[in-house]
Amino acid sequence: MKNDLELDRVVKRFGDFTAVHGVSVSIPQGEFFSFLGPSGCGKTTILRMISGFIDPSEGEIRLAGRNLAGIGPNKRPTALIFQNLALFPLMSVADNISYGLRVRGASREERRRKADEMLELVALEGYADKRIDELSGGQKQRIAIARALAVEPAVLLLDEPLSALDLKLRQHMRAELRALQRRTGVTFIYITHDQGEALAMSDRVAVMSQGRIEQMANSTDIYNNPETAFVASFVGENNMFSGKVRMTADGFGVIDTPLGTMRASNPRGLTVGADALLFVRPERVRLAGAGETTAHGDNGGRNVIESEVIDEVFEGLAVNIFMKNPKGRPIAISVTNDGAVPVLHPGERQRASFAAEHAILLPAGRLAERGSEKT
Amino acid sequence: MFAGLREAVRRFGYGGLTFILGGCAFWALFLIVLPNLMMVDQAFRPFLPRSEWGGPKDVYTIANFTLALVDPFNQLIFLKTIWASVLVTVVALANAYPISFILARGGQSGWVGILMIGLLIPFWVNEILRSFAWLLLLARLGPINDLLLLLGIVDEPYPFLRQDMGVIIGLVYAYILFMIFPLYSAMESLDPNQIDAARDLGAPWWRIHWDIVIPHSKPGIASGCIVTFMLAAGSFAVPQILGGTRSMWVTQLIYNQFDAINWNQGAAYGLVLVALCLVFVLAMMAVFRVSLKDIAK
Repeated sequence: MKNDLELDRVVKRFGDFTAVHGVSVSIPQGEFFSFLGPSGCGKTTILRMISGFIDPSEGEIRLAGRNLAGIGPNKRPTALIFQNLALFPLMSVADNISYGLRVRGASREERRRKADEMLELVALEGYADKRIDELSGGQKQRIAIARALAVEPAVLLLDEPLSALDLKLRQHMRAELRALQRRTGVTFIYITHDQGEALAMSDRVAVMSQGRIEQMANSTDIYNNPETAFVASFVGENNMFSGKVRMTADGFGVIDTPLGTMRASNPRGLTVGADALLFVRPERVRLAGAGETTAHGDNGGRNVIESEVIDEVFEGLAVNIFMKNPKGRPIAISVTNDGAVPVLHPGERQRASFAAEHAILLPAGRLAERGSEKT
Repeated sequence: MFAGLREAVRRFGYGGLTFILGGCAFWALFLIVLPNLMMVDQAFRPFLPRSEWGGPKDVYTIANFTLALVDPFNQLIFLKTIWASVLVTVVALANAYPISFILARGGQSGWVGILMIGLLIPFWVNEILRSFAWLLLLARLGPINDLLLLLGIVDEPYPFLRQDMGVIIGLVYAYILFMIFPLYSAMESLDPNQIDAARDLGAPWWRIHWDIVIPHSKPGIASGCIVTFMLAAGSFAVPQILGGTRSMWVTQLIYNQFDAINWNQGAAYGLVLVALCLVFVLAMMAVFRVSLKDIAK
């Protein structure tokens, strides 16, 4: 039977505090699935429930249809990679990798063979007899993965294992983890607060906030079609304008904002009078051409906002333009560096423009912490 | 080194520094080095009346040591002391290990604090008074015998105090904190994820202790065992109070010699005890592959 993992209305309470509110997920065998969310969103609690260190207060966790309740972490076909890796410093690399086999009573030859096989898998042949403190950060990472995969788990759980690495290595390890997952076909469940990691590696991502799943979708949909204000403000950069819905038609809505009316797609079907937030990605905004008027929304579908340049930041691949409109609200524009990005000066008057179909209306709701400065 | 000296001069001045260094030198010389040298000197001289000190009979000899080592009664007491101290160490370790593990791994829950206080408060009472308390508890008609009789474990009161049993129980109690604290601090430094990782890889609880907790705590176990063993072998009050006449400890043997003004014989017994303990500890360290560097951690 296939090792599909199901979480069925899983709840976890610690005293009066509910860390996880009825989470249901179905993860087919071989998927790379990420739980993405800020710290305290309940993702680590979910991971520890799947690995068996804590039990759900309500609901069931099933693997291949079998309820895992009452099965301790040492009896579960799951393996966990810890945030700090938790390699055993007093054992050699080979002993670390084959530890799971040793406690299962495997013979010395069998353990050695498995260790060599795993070292080959993570491209560290010849490291069997090294001590853990002789390894670099990236090598430790790979040994931790080898140790977890050596017990041939049905599900590999990863608890932000890349957070201790520097940026370059982290990006390299992303690709490596993804490749390893494809090669082994083991289900990977990845916990992270780093959206870049989650989006780059995962088949599907569940964005979590306050113990609930806000949205579960593939990376593209999480980024392009956020379903809640939280997801829109947590994942990637977004410009945000708040207002009330004035009219709706053909999947689009028009809202009244302090900057005038704006038009955007309305996938959640907001009705007239609803409090709405309009989100538009900086890379979907551009400087308005001379022909575009300042009329909002009904100007051929484009929204145009009079603004003043605050700063222009050159980042190589992209040029970020930060502007401020007369009401004091910031607008960020990100332009791909095609060699023809105009040089702007602080204080210069410009107009920001974006198409209605590139902006999205979502019901007003809680936002991610780091997005709260954008109103 | 000289930079450190200059820094010390700057902080304390020449006067202050002289006082500190002078005090340390006085303490080390007059309270440690000279008394020990005197004891070594005494041990190699015969026991003579005052009038013959410095006379023709006052020559260096190993007769005191020969007596200590050759006499079968003395041999028995030396061996018994070492053996019983090993037993005390093992029993203390067996009790201290779970207590230390709970203290170190019990987290922030309130009863860990209560356990800690419960361990410490009895040790605010003098060792001699605590030994007398055990005398009452272990007495022929004491509460422990009452309990054993009540439960039907024994048919008549067990004579704890007429044998070494009372001494061993008393010594375990007297020195268990010296076992618990090194164990506790070693275990506390263990990353809890190490335990979880072993569990996650399939290890049952005893394997986690055998493979992860004990190897990590080895320096703490070693220093706890050495301190407990040394203190037990060198204890005087506990065997004196709880031992009775049939249980003799080396320290009592030494005391008897000093009591009989034969300092020379007493000093020789003392040196033999120290040497035996040292050899034994070094042998055990070699057997369990503990280096001095581990203990210094």
